[in-house]
Amino acid sequence: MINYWHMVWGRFTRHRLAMAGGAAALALVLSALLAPYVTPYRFEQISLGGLFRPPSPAHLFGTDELGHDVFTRIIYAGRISLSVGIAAAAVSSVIGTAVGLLAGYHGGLVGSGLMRLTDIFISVPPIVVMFVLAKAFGPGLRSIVIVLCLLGWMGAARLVRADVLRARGQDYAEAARALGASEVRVMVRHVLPNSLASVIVAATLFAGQAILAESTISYFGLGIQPPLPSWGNMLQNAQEYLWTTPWLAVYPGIFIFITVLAFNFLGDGLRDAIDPRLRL
Amino acid sequence: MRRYVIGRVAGVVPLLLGISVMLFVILSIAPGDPVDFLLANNPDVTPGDIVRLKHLYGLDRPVYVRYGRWLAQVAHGDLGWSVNYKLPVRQMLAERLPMSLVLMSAGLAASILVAIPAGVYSALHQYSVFDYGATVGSFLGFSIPLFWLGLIMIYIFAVKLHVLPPGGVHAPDAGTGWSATVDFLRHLILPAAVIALYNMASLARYTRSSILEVSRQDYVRTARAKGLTRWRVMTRHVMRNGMIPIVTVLALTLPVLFGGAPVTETVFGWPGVGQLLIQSVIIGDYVVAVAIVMCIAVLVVGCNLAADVLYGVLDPRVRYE
Amino acid sequence: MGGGDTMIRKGLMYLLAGAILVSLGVPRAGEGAPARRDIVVGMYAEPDTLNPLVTSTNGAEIINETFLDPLVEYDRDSRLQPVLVESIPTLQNGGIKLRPDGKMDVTWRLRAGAAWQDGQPVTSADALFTDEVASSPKVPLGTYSCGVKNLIDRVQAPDARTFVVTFKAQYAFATECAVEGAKHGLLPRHVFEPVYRRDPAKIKDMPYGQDPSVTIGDGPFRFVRRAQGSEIVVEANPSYWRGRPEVDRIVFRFFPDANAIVANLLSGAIDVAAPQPVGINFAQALQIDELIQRGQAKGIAVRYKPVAIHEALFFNQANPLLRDLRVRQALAYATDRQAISEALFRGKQPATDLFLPPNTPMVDTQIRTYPHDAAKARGLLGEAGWRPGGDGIMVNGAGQRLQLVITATSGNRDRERIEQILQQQWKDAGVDLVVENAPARIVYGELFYQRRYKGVLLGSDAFATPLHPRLDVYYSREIKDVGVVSRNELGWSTPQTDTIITAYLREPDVNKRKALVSQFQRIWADEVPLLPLYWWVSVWAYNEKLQGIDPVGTAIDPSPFVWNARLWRWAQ
Repeated sequence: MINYWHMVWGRFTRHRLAMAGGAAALALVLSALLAPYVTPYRFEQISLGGLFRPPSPAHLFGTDELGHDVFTRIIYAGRISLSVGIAAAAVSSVIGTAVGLLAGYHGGLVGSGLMRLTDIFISVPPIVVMFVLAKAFGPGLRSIVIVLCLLGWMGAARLVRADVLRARGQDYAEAARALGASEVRVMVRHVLPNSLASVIVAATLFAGQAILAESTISYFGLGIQPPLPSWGNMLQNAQEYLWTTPWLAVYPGIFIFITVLAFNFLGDGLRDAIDPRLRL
Repeated sequence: MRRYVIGRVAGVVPLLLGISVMLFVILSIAPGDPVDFLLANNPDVTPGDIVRLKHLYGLDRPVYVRYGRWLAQVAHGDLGWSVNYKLPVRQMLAERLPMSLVLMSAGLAASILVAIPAGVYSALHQYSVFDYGATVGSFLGFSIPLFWLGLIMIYIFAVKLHVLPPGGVHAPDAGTGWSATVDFLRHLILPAAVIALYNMASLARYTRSSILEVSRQDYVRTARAKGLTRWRVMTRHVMRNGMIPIVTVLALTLPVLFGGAPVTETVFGWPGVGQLLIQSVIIGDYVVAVAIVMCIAVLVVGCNLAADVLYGVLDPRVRYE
Repeated sequence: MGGGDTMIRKGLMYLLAGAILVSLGVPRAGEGAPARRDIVVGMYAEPDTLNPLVTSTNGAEIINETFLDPLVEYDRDSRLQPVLVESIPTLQNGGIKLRPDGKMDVTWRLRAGAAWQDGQPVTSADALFTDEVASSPKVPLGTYSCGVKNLIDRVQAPDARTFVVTFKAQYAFATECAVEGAKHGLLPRHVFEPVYRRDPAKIKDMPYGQDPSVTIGDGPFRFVRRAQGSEIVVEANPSYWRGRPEVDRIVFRFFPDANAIVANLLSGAIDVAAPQPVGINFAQALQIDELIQRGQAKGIAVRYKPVAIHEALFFNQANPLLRDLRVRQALAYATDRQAISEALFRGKQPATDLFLPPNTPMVDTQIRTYPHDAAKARGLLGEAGWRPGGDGIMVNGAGQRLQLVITATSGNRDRERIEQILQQQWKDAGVDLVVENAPARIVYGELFYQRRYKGVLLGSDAFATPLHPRLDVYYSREIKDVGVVSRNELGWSTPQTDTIITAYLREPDVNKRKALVSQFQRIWADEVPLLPLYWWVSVWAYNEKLQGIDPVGTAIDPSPFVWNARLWRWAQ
């Protein structure tokens, strides 16, 4: 086991893009965690005397229409967007794994019923599901996390179920059963660790998609509401001032872009490292 | 073959019904509908009027009653009446569907034209600079927020450079005939480019991996060993077999385009089905939203079905699974 | 590699060439072109339908006004002027008669020569029918509702050009909206009646606003066509009784967001950007102004015009903290209205203390005002028993923090910004302001009208009729229990104001009414039941060469800017 992860790590570190992605993601997460220490102002702090200031040493990214320091708001928005994305990825992975285990283990009615459910979700394009759910659950932080979780559990569920079904037919499973181990034990000790890797990859990639989704929903006014900053609602705000202060629209977008890119590179690198047969 | 097709088709109906039930329940539970917005607009509209209007539009009935009514209506081909637009849904869809199709086709065509050759080239020149660049480019493509990309492009091309219009479908002074067509094409460029960019990314990656996978197969090596030229091998064997998964992915990309268009259409003000969907969901005009989503679901399921059948035609092994 | 590569390369080149060609596009009409005969108006909110009995959008009201004449309209001095009728009925000229049984007769006489565009004359039968169909519960009347259907006893037509509206009781605002549904004019009976008699439910399916043969009006323009999602076109009506309009055609174009309107205005694709709430908003207008100053917007002008709506803070007397007069006055002193106006609107939506718009007949400017003074605010709070706590927020003897909740419609960016500014300003006075916004449906449907908003509500107060301010909503009897719909959403009244209002509603003489309204305003200013912040200003941007646009900003929505569309013309 230890040898295996050692090899994975080795492969991962050799993948340049993945390392870059991982480093960027780490930097963003750190800045989010250390937000109060990295930011010179408070995010709700307004300054009616300094509106629409261009970037300067005092305000790295300038100020907006109420004199907020854009840099501070970007960092705090990152805190919110990142925690939403990572939380959603984590929770939906757990849910998805549980569902996948259930479906694979029970098979029959429960199994196919669960798979029908995932079929339904997958048949409708995610953006559409996203908006419908966002509208249904209302605006706000908690709702957005719920919506994103509901969008993400299918990926993990399918993966895990496939793994369970595959594993049940394997020789080592047969051997374990012959030795008297229960089905549950087989699943937990043998199937789960193998699935874990692919679930982690899926979760990483989903985190990126979740952040993208949250910013889209917030941009349309259905997600995180002001005064809480989120990259998406900062963009919506900036749109009003596109003519005279276009830079307000650039920063939130770039940060979304970099974050999602980082998670995508990271997830891709993880996938290549874990199963190089998939690498092409 | 027939049993394969029938089996697939039979699975579709309960799926669609399930989707409609879930959709209906979710949207009907969501609070807020177009009548509620009236209150904010006109102070002369009293809460009594709101109650009356909701009753007139059938918005105060319980969910199962509304679902039953809706199902009966749909069975008769009536997709409902939009409380927000005061128009029959069918009429609105008929007007907007061609717009969406034009946009999607343009985007898809552009992405195919660029992505597939790029993917093939990447596969054949693996690990080259082009390959590396294309990989990074792909990642950029599906990491970028679409609405932001649209905004930036509008700013650059319409506001700063003034070469392309900032959205919409035609300019007021477009005229008729040839100049109207050119004007329409000018309006089509940016939104189609956004859609193309997004799809190019995954398509190029997929093409690359598919071609690579096929070219590693034994039969390709055998063909080369037999003395066939590389070109012959490429077109006869690699491409033909490599296209199978690409066809699959394209078939599955089509539905994603149906879904991906809402954001792009809204940002560019393109009066398509996607824009209508977002508007209807936001304002709570659930009749329209459900109708559109069901249409999309039917299309998605239909596309999957077609892909499965096509797969069965192209690859006989599938039929006997 | 051979053939494949070069083919691909060639293909890409052709694609690129084609793209360049297409993007060069069609050259636009240059300066040497002949004088224009059409005007293109850019709007944001596309009307759902133009059918007055069904529509619920402001956009419809604007467009309808080009081809439907109103019965009366407000002029620049907020005075009611007759349009389709010969004169405004008053007590003096006998148009309004008070009957011994308490009812009130209002007699209207239609102008001779007023005709529908298909040749039929406008008659009193149209008025009768308009009232009947608009009052029907089966018709989904929305934004065209005047709210008078329960106040009218009956409508009669003694002859083809006269109709008499009998109100159940004396009603001060009877001349604004003659009959129910006549908010912006009468409906053509011969078009609507056949459908209505057959089945009222089919009214909403009528292609009024789609099919020009059905969309008959009596105004200066004639409806020509509608391209859903894109534009509505109206053409000059040569036989209009006030004379043919100056331009041949007006095209209303709809854009998905206000930014697109600005972009099209700057590029010359549209000539006028409609005012709020159907066109550009203040932020965009200010930006256009700035671009003009930077020289990046040639030939464009921006105009501002105050309207009779003020943005205000409503204090719910159901909240015990706000029942204390000193607290309300302290909050008034704590608010720097000038700063809000400067920050958000560059001062162009002027800060105010007044009850009525400054240039209207009934305003009293000698009332008490509250210039910004945080020290005074703290002093007043001290008098009311509040002491500064540890974190700067005041606490009273019982240890309770001075915390208030402010509510506004979520999604309204300006209000969200105001709330943030207020949070900071009131913090200086020791007040902790918490923001709890909600969607418009909840704010108006439940919180406001049922007096359930927790403390302060940020909203707008409109004066549709500055000539006859609606004081009756301040009656004490209009205060209902929390949770019951009431018209006095503040829960405020005093015995003196009750007496004044009663006298005011009964008073026929204008000068005596003015004195009563003055008295009311003085008490109102002393009591601060609500805190006005600034006056709304209608703002629109247009091509400088266009003349005649002059929105009359007194009505509830600042958008009746097409009232004189027949006079719009291009300068040579």
